[in-house]
Amino acid sequence: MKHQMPESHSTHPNVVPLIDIIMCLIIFYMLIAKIGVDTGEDETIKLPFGRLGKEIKSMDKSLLVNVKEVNGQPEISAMIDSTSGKGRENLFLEGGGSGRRFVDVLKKLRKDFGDDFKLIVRGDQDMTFSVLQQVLLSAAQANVKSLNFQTTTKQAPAGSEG
Amino acid sequence: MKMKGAKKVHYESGPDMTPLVDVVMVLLIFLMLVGKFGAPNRYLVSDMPISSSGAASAPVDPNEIPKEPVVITVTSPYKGKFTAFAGTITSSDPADLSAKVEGLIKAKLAAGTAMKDIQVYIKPARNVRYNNVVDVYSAIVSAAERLQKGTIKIGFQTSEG
Repeated sequence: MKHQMPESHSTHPNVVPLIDIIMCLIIFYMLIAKIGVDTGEDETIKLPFGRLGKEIKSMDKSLLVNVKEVNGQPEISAMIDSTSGKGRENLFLEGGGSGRRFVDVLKKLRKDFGDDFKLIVRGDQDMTFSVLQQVLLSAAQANVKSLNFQTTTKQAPAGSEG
Repeated sequence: MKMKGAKKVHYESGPDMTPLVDVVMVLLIFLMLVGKFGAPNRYLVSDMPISSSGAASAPVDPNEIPKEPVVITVTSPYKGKFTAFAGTITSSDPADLSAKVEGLIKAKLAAGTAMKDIQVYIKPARNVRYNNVVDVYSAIVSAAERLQKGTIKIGFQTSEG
């Protein structure tokens, strides 16, 4: 008895392997990609390398502040209310600027969230401690109990230090 | 005019996969464009209040400052490099510093201090870069992790000037 491939199969391309691969890719992206999570991170900041430390899964009751050094002074920005749609705003150490005072923001959040409030510092690896110190002092003034320093597990290529 | 010998094609046979492929492709492109990728981040946690000294100051509850903390002073003799001092130890390398801090912790444990009561303060100079501060911090964390006797408390002291 002679078997013959149906004519329809011989004329259509077989898309089953294509769909298999695409489905695998979709599942991969759905599992790995972070979608719709915006904590106000400044992507231009070069994080210091650190393999140790904890993972923070939930960003509830926390504020992520971007800190970098500009002309020897700290430049602080944060997205204080992610639901407002305002995005990141600059915060100031001293009053009288066009924005809010950093310490006032911390005090308000500390009052709202209590001891569970976490301050996450996303600092530029090249800033000096004199800049970081001012952020730490503001946190101390606001009685923030938990400080977290964000690091990256990706090592910067050799010779990239400024 | 119908040509003789032309193949008869059965387009109706089998399910039509085109809409499925369309939807799946749209999903794939959406995820590729919207998703954020990158190396996972870690967080070095400090749950001790900053201790003040010198001109920089902050109100700190005196009860929260330990009586005999380990204070690691960090200086930066060259840009991007650090030297750490604690008592008699000196180190400019994170791995070496970690081993020496482990020795300090062991000495504290031998003296009867519980692991959870050991408190380490990092006191960097004003010109020390943040990545060097993180190096010192990581060295202390790894020293405590190697001992496998729990975690220690790590905090900061403000520098003079």
